[in-house]
Amino acid sequence: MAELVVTGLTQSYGLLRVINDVSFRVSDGEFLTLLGPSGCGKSTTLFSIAGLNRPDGGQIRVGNEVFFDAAAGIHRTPEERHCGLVFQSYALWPHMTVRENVQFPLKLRRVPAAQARDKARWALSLVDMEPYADRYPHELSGGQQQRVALARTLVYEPQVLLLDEPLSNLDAKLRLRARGWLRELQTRLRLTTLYVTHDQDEALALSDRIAVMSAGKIVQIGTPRQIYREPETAFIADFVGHSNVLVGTPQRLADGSFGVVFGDDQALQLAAPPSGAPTSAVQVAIRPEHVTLRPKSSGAAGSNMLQGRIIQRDFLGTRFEYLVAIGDAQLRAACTDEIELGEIHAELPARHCMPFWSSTAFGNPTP
Amino acid sequence: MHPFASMKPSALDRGALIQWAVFVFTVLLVAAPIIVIAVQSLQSGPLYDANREWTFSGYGRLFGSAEFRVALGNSLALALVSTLVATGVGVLSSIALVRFDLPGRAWLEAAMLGPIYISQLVLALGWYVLYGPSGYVSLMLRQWLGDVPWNLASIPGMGVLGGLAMAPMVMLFCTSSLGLMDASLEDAARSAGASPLRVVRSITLPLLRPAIVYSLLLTFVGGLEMLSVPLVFGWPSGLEFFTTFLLRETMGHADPDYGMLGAAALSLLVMVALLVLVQQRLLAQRQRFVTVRGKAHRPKPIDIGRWRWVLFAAFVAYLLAAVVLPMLALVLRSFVQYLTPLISPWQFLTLDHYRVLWEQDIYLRSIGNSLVAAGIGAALTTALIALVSAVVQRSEFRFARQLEMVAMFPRAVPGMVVGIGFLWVVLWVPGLQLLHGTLAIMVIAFSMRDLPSAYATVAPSLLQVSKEIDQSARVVGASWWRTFRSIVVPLAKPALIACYFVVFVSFVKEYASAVFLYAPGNEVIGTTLLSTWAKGEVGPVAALSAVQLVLTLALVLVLAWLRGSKSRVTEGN
Repeated sequence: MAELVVTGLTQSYGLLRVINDVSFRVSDGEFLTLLGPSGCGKSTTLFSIAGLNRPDGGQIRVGNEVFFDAAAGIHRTPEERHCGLVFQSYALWPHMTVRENVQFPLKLRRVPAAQARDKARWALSLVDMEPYADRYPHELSGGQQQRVALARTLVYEPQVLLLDEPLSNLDAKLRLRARGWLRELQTRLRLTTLYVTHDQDEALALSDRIAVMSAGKIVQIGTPRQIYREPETAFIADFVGHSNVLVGTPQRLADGSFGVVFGDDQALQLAAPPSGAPTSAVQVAIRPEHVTLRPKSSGAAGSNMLQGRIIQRDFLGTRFEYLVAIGDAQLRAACTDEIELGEIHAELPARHCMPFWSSTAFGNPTP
Repeated sequence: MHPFASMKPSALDRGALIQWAVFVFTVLLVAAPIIVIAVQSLQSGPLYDANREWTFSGYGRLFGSAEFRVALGNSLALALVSTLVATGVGVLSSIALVRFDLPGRAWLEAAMLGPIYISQLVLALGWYVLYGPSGYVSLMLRQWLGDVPWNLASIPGMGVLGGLAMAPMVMLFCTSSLGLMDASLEDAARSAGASPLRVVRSITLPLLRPAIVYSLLLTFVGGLEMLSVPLVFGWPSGLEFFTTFLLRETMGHADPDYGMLGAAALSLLVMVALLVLVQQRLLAQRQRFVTVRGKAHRPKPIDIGRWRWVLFAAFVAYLLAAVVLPMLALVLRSFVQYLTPLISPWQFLTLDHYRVLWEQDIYLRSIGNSLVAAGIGAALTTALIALVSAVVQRSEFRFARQLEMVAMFPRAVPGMVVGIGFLWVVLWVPGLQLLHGTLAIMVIAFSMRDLPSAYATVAPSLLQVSKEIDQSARVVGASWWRTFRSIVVPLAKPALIACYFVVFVSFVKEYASAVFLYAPGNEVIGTTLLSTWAKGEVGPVAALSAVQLVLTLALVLVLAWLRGSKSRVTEGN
C-alpha cells in the first residue's frame, strides 16, 4: 500500500470542464471519499487513476510511481498500474466461475497454481464467499457478486483500492451491512482507499476524510465531522445534511450584532458574519432538525423567531417533516411533535445558522 | 516492493501493433481490388503493358458504345421493376405476418425469409425449369390454353423474378423495423375507431416509411448488380445488362478492352456506392421516425376475422409458386431424363445426372472446393471480424471509426466488381501471380464480400457486453490482447459461431465474384453451375443445384439450432 497523490487533474470535453484542477492526497492506509452529485466528475477522476480515462492535464502518482503526467507525456496502461477497481456493476466475467474470476489476476501475474489457489481462498474467505467458489456469477445475488468483485480486487494486493459506488446496486438493508464489513476490511488490511459515492450517509460513515466535488472541482476536503459541521459553502451544507438555504441581505442589527433581513422584513440574528469577502447577499443554511416549530398560540416570541405557516406535514415514523412557508421562501423542519397545520413560529437558533456570502442576491444555493 | 509487480510493460506495444495490423490488413483487403480497377480504368492498355498511358478514353469508349448504353438502360429498367415488386411483396407480407393473427405465423415468416439462404442462381434455375420458355408449367399452359400468358425473357418478366428473389431481404428489414415499432400506437388507433385496414394505411405504413425507402434503395442496388436472372433468362434471348455486358467483355474476348472494362466496373461501383451512401443517410435518420422501445412488448396481433384464412391461402399459394415448387422441380429435374407435362416423369426416372456428378472430376472437385473454401474461409473471416469488432468497439485505436467504415464498405461493391478487381490484383501485383487460379484467391475475394454481413452478426452481440467487463480485466492487469483472448472472445463465442455458419453458407452459394477467378482446378459450385448451364446440360445443373440446396439447408438448420439454444454465457449476463 502506498499514498496516492493527484495534482492539478484537468479534463475538458469541448468547453465543458469535467475535471477542473482537482488535487488531493490519500495517505497510506487512508479512506478518502469523493462525494458529489452525479456529473460532478468524481467517477471520471476515479477512472483516470485506474487508467481507463486519460485526462488533459495534471499528475497522478502512487508512492514513487508516476501513473500519469500530462507534461511529461506519461500515461501508464491500466494493467501496469496495479490498482484495484470495484465497478458499480461489479463487472464479474460471466463465463468464469467465482474461483476463476478471483484467480484470473493471479494467472496474469504468473503466480504458481498452488499458491494462486491458496491466495484465492484467502481472498474469498475475507468476504465470506468461499462456499460459493464454484458458482457462476449469474447464480449469485447482487450482494454476493459485490463481495466477489471485492475479493477479485483484493487477491492481488493492489497498491490502491478504488471503489465506484459499489453499494449503490444493493437494497437499503444490505447496503448497511455491506458498509459495515467494507469499513472493517479496510481498517484490517490498511488499504489506501478512494471511494466514490453520491450518498452522504455512506461517505460520513466510511471515510477518514471526504472530498466534496461539484462541477468538476473539489469544493471542500475534511473529516466527516468537519464537512458536516463546518461546511464551507451553502452547496455543501445542502448536499451533506440537506440543509435549508435562505437568502437575505446583511444588516447590522440594533444591538450591534450581525443579522440577515429577508424579503418579508423578518430578520435573523447570526452568531458571526460569514467569513470571506462580503457580497450584497447572505445565504443562511440550517438543518431541518435544528429548526424548532411552535404553535402561534403558545405566544413564546423569543429571539430568532420567524413567522410562517405549515403547508405540508409528512409522517415518517420516527419523526414528522414539515414544510413551512416563510414569506416567499420555504423551510423544511423535522421534529417528533405533531403540530397542526397553520400559522406557527419557527425558531432558528443562531448557533445552528451557517452563514455564507452569496455570489448572487437571489441565486439558488448551488455555487 | 509490491508483491506481484513483475509484469512486462511491453504488453501495450503488442496490443497497439495488433490493432494496426488489423487495420492495415482490412484496408488492403477492401481497397486493393478497387484501386486496381480505378487505375485500370484510366489506362490506355492493360496494366502489364509497359507502353500504356494515363487517359480517360476508356470512359469515352464505354459511354460511346451503343451496346453498353442499351445494357445500362436495360439494367436500370430491370432494377426499377424488381425494386417495385420486391418492396411491394416484402412490405405487405411483413405487415401481414407481424401484425395480423394469421394461422402459423412463425412458420410462414420463416418460410418467407428462407430464400435468403438460397443462391439467387439456384432460384433462377428453378424458375427456369418451371416457368421458362420450355418449362414444365409453360408447356402445360400451352397445352391447355394454346399460349403462355407471360414472357419471362422480357425485362418486365425478369424484373418480377428479380423482385421475388429480393423480397425476402426487404421482409427481413421490415419485420425487424415493425418489431421495434411501438404497437400501442396502432392499438390507440384501433381504440379511436379505425378498422384494421385503416390502421395499416394511416399508422403502420407511414411509420414504416423510412424502412420502405431504405428497402427501395436496397433492392434497386440489388437489381443493378444482379447477375443470376439476366444470365439465365436474358442471355439466351440476347437481352444484355450491365452485369452480363461486363461478363461478356471480360471473358468472351481473347483481347479484352481493359480500359473500358475498368471504366465499366468503376461506373457500376460508383453508382452502387452512391445509392448505399444515400441509404446510410436515411438509415441514420430512421430513429426519428420509428418509435423505438428498449424491450418492446410483443403486441397482440390484430384479429382480422375470416380474412386470416384468405391471407393464409395467399401466402401458401405464393410460397408454393415462388419457392417450393421451383425448388422441387429443380430437384425432380435432377432425377429424370426429361421433365415435361406430356409424359409422366416416372418413366424417365434416372440417377444418371448424379452419376455424372460422381464420375466427372469437375463436379466433385467443385463441391469439394466449395466446402474447403467455405470451411477455411469462414474461419478466417470470423477470426478477422472478431479482431475488427474488438478493435472498433473495445480499444482506444485512433482509427476505430474508420476501420468500421472500411469493414462495412464491401456492401457497396457488386460481386462482379470484386471478382474483376481481385483478378487484376493477382495478375498485376508482382508476387501475387502465384495466387492466380487458386482456391486461395477465391477465399480472399469471398471474405472481402462477406465482411459486412460477418460484422453485422458479431458487432451487436459484442455491444451487449458491458464495457466494464473488459475494463475490469485491464485494471486487474490484463493487456489488451490478453483481454481479447480471455474475456472478449469467450463472451462473443455464440456470435462468432453464428458468424462462422453465416459466412459458410454465403461461401457455398457465391458465384458472382467467382466467375472471374476460377480456372481449371479451382472451380466452385457456383462457377460450375454457370459453365455447365452455358453448355446446356440441364440435368447435371439440376443435380448440382440439389446438392447445394441440401448443403445449405443442413447448415441453416444447424444455425437455427444454435440460435435457438441459449448458452449459459448469454444467460448469465
